[in-house]
Amino acid sequence: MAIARCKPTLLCVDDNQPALHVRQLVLESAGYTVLVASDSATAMEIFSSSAVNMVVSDHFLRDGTGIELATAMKKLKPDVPIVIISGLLNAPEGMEHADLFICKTDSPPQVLEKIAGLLNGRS
Amino acid sequence: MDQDTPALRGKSDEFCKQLMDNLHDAVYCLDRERRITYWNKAAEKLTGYCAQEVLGTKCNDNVLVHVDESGYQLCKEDCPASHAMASGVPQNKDIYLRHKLGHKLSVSVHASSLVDSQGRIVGAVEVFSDNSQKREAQEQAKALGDALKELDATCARLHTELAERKRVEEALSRSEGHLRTIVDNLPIGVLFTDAQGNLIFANAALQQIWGGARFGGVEQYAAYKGWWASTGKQVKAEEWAAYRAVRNGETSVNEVIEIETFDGQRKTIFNSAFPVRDEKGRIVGAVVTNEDITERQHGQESLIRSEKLASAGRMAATIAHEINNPIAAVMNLLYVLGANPSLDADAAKLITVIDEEIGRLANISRTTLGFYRNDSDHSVVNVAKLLDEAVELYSRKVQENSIYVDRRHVTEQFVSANEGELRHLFANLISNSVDACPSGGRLLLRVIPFREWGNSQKPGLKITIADNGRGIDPRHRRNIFEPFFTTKETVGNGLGLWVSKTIVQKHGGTIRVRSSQGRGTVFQIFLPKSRAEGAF
Repeated sequence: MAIARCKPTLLCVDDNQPALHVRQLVLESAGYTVLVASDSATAMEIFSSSAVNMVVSDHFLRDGTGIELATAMKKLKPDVPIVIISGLLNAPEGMEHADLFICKTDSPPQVLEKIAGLLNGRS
Repeated sequence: MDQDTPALRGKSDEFCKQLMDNLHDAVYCLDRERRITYWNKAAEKLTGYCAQEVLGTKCNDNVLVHVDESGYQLCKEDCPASHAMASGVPQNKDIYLRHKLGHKLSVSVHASSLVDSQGRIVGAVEVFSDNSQKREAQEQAKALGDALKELDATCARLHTELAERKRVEEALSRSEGHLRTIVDNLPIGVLFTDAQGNLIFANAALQQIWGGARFGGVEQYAAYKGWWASTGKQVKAEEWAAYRAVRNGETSVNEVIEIETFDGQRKTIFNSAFPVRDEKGRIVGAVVTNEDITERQHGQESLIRSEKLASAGRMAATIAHEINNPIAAVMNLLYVLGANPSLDADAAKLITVIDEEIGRLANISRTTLGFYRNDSDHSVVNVAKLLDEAVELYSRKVQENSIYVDRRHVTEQFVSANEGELRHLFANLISNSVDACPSGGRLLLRVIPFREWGNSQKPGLKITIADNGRGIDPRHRRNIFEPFFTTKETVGNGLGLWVSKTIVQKHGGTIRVRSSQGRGTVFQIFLPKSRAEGAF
């Protein structure tokens, strides 16, 4: 299990509450600090007002798509890596606005590995 | 005539009298009062009146009843003899007189005046004779003339009719010629039959469709091989639309029939036929049309397939998304649960099992619902390892059915390929083989370095996946790689082999199958070392 060196802060976005919560638990078990939001508006608010090392967002949100959120976030802080994690088996259109696509069929260890990899690549 | 002596006169009178009585023609003389002074023997004979009866009578007493053509009586006012006496000019006339017995006589009359030695008119002499023969001849001539005229007219009419008929025949012949040219140039195949159903004519387009034509009686129908597109059953001789048109007066429109032509090609046609009737409504033959719709059919089938595929793809994506979310949630929960220190060993084991099952579910979602994408990332892939991992997916079923997995390959065999797609490919084929295997059956897996079959001889790998299961029904052999073709009634979407073939082709490889019903099936896949060499 790969753990980032300093405790990075991740922002998790998903409009499904239970899913969001359990993802938070998994990420926290890997040593991350996790902030949560269940829609784009809240996510943007948190993103702009807090120091966030990475955003992990679902694609189909109540008030827009993860790609749209990523596009907006990149305009604000282009250096923060954004991961789209989705039930879709194939990456959606517009992935150039984000950094990585993870399918929800990946096991938790695989997900953690990919996130760590992306974070490490950046630091 | 200056011989007026009494002795001579007496002699010449005797002579004259004899002469006159022996004449063939009838003669009579009139004096100035128109009294008949002489009536010869011939006159007696011709008219039936003897001299005694008429001598001394006046000709205008109308004994003889001279009438002309129009029945106008001449003796009173128009007597030729009187005219001759009056004018001194001889008169000729064709008239009729009445015989003593009452019948009409046709006579030619010549009247001239008699003069004395001083030139004074002293009377008239009329010579007349039967001209009935002449008249008859004249009438016959006239009749002939009339007949001739009629004949002439008839001839002229026939001539005109003939010319007309010739014109009509030429027009008909031209028109037939046009029709024949039209029929021969139609882009649709046309066949004619006679009233018995014998095939008598096939235009160029028909012969082009069928690669020729067979003429003759209904027994020739069997030479035309066709199968009803809807049922796949062969068209029997008496089922052909031509037969039904001639026998039952049936009209058929656009029957879809798959045919095998005389030169062995397979085509699909529209077959139509209708009976031809005469003016009394009796069937005198049939017209058949054939239209080659092979292209159109294939085009339509392709279109339907793409549409089905597209909609299936959309549906699969939606379903995948729906189930992947809960799968992820469960996996995450298990992950967190698994780290819980309060779990005892048994509980921890159970968690592991659940994890495996969920992993399997995730795999199914990925492989079954995530078919066919344009993701073409190739990497160096260990084919043997992938094959082993694919078999692992079916380990439960393999164990349950005591299937012996015969691995005959060296562990490291590499090609440049898309890993995900190869996993999918192997999973499909192994799944089919495992399903086909009976209890205690055998699954053979083999990977060897290989140069491609045929001319190319590209370097790569040959992968064999074989079983000794029930085999493929020969009737289905040509369909198995088609999308949505499946023989499994409840499971499967019919896409497995189609996707497999597509994956192999995308990698520039080839896939072959051999099968024997009841004995087993062998799939052989060639994958080139790299896509570049595959040149796809």
